[in-house]
Amino acid sequence: MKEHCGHSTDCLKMIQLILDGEATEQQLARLKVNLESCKPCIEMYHLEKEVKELLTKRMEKRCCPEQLVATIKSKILTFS
Amino acid sequence: MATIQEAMSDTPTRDDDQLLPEGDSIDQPSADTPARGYTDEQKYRIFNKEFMPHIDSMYNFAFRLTTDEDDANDLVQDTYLKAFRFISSFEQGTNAKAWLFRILKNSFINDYRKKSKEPAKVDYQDVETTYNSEDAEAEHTVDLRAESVSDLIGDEVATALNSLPVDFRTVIILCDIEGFTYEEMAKILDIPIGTVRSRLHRARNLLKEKLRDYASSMGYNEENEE
Repeated sequence: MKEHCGHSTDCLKMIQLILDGEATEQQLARLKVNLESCKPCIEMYHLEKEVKELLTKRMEKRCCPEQLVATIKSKILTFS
Repeated sequence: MATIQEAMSDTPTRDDDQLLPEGDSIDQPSADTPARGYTDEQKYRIFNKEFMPHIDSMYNFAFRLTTDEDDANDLVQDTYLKAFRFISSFEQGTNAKAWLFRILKNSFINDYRKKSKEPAKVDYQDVETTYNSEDAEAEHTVDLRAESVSDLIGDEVATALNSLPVDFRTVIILCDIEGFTYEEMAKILDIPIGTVRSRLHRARNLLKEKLRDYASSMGYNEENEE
């Protein structure tokens, strides 16, 4: 297991592409290798995944106020 | 029925011109496709079936950009009224959500950013320059562990996100919260995909720095405690 990653910036960029679903097959294959052999890459992967999940799952989702929906609907009726 | 020109006359045309140059609607296959002549009935149907289902996402986006409920209300309303006005440049069955987000983002930049407290563009330029420097390349990984952030709650993440310059905040919202692809983001933001990728990368590094500061001030990371 590698304790030090010599190209962590590139690895980080690749990890983000993969978590965003934008990576190529080749990049996926490379990550698989790194996740078995490179400790810093494993840690970066877990951190990026955790931060993305915080944003995806834990942020408050607001609903649009009903009054605003009603206002918009009534305003467009006067347009044409 | 009013023509498009008449309908536009009560709006600031400079903004509208920038917003939707003719034939430049999102996902439109060719730039010279003529504007679609929808009947009134079709317009209302498209508006209700394709635009209104995205209103909660739009409201969230507006609120995260403006961080103010009243401004978010106004911004969403302006955006939907513009969308109706320009409905002829929307092609049925294409990506309505991305099309609406693009209008909202442009309205925000043109009408809201200048009146908000945020110094428009300036801080973004600074950060962009700093992060393009060689020094930035050298220390690209933020010293933060997954365990230190796993206990953070939504409010804390929101505070960290809100402290980012708006252009960085925007890419994170679009990608991680709304789940747009890089290609959709490029269209919404009018920037190349490569720029989406690099801006997202920098935005995330900044966000992690904020989260690290937050986590250490909360005592999650004893080693970094000051």
